[in-house]
Amino acid sequence: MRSQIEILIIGAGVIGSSIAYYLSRRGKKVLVVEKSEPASGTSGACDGFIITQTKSPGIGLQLARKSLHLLDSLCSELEDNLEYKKTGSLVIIETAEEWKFMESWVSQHCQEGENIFLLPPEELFRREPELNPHYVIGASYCPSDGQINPLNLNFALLREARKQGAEVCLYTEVLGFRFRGDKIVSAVTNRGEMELEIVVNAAGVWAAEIALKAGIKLPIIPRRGQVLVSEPIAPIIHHPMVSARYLTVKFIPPPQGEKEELGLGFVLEQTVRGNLLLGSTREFVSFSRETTPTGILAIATKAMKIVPKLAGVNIIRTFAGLRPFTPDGLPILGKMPGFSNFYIAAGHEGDGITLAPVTGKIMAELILEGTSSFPLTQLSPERFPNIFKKE
Amino acid sequence: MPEAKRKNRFEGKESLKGKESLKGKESLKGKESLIVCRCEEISYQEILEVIRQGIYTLAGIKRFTRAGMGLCQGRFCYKLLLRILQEEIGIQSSEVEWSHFRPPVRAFPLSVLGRISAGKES
Repeated sequence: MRSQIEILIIGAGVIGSSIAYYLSRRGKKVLVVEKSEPASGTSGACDGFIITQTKSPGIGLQLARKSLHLLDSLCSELEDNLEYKKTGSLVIIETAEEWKFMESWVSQHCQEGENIFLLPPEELFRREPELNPHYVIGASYCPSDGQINPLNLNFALLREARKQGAEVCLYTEVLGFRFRGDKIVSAVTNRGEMELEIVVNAAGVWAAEIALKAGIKLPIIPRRGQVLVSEPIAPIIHHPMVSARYLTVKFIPPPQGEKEELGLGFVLEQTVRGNLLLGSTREFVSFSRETTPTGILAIATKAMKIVPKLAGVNIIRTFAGLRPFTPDGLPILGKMPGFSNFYIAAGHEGDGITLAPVTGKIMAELILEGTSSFPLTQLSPERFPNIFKKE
Repeated sequence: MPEAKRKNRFEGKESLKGKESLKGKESLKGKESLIVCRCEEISYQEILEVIRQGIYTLAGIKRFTRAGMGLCQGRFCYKLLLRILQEEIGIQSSEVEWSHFRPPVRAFPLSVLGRISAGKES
């Protein structure tokens, strides 16, 4: 159907759009294919946290920090209002055990040069007077974090990519590939066959499905996050916040009475419009995007414990998004083993919005120069030994 | 008896005519400043721009414009949105991919969930 596509990007979520933006900026002829619509998957069903302080020290943290720097320049490069605010972020601490954990977490972050520190109760309640003093004992605070409108970011990147010459085909699903040697030469879609030189799999939770069409098993599975949305109200909180439980879940047993199978890591954010987003569960339930009474109740209960005033706030909607989970919590970025022109950028789980700028930038470098300014070994698909290519 | 009553309810009332024409075939063309989504104050013009960019679903229109994202969650505007889609690209409402309808049906205070949750524990 088409010819002379230099680079085919699969997926018009925030990751695919960011890659399209950085590639088209360097004059490459890019085509983005999307089986539904921009931001119809994970990027349109999430919160807007731009957060580094929840990232594990090491490569995850470095990646997030680089992304934050890029976001600053993106804000001037993109015309749209991204509703980006550097409010700082809070990790809410509820128990002495969590405080101890956060002390060591904060000191590890400081060693990596992050500006992050613990707020004692009086300082925390001065900043956030609506937090429950009978329940919250402190917080860690990272002033450079903030929040953004994820939809605006996604659409702005894609719109700018289009202006730079990228093409976008919506409602176009990749059904399979044709190969020659170690190359993919074309993609077969429901709207015809497309010849190409390079393919980038940015299909998020569907990335494993796409990889399988090339005989590769990727360990990316969907993890559901349920979220409650409130009516718009006057500012009630001033920082996006996440409970320390989000981080300690691997190390400390749950408080009595909390349902661990929901994997609840409480997050709370008030958007520029004034709507509150209350989240979020972390459940492995395949591709189901339903919200459940147990999930909604667990979030509501936790929310009212942390900010009692929320009891009087009206909930207008619940939604659920699927996060592309990987076993080690890091995205998979790099070239697919066994192929010379097939790349992957997926598996960001709950960090896709924060990591979109850096992902686009380093993928463009990797594709165009064969190397990146950022060390990619730990992020490469080859870190998973069970990936294989069918002969 | 109630049936007969219902039939006569609007007899002779002027407002009915207006209602019929709104629901019926009158084109929206030329009414670009018309507010389609009252909750988020999204105009017909804004909806048209998104459809002309190639977005053909209610969910997509919502993500791009916020129409249907407000307090009523699209309950007032979805019919109008369907009509606009029909007028613009000729697809029938049965062919349009709808936004997911998820709980709650109506806005309610969070404390209601607190009571349910407390009831469960005791």
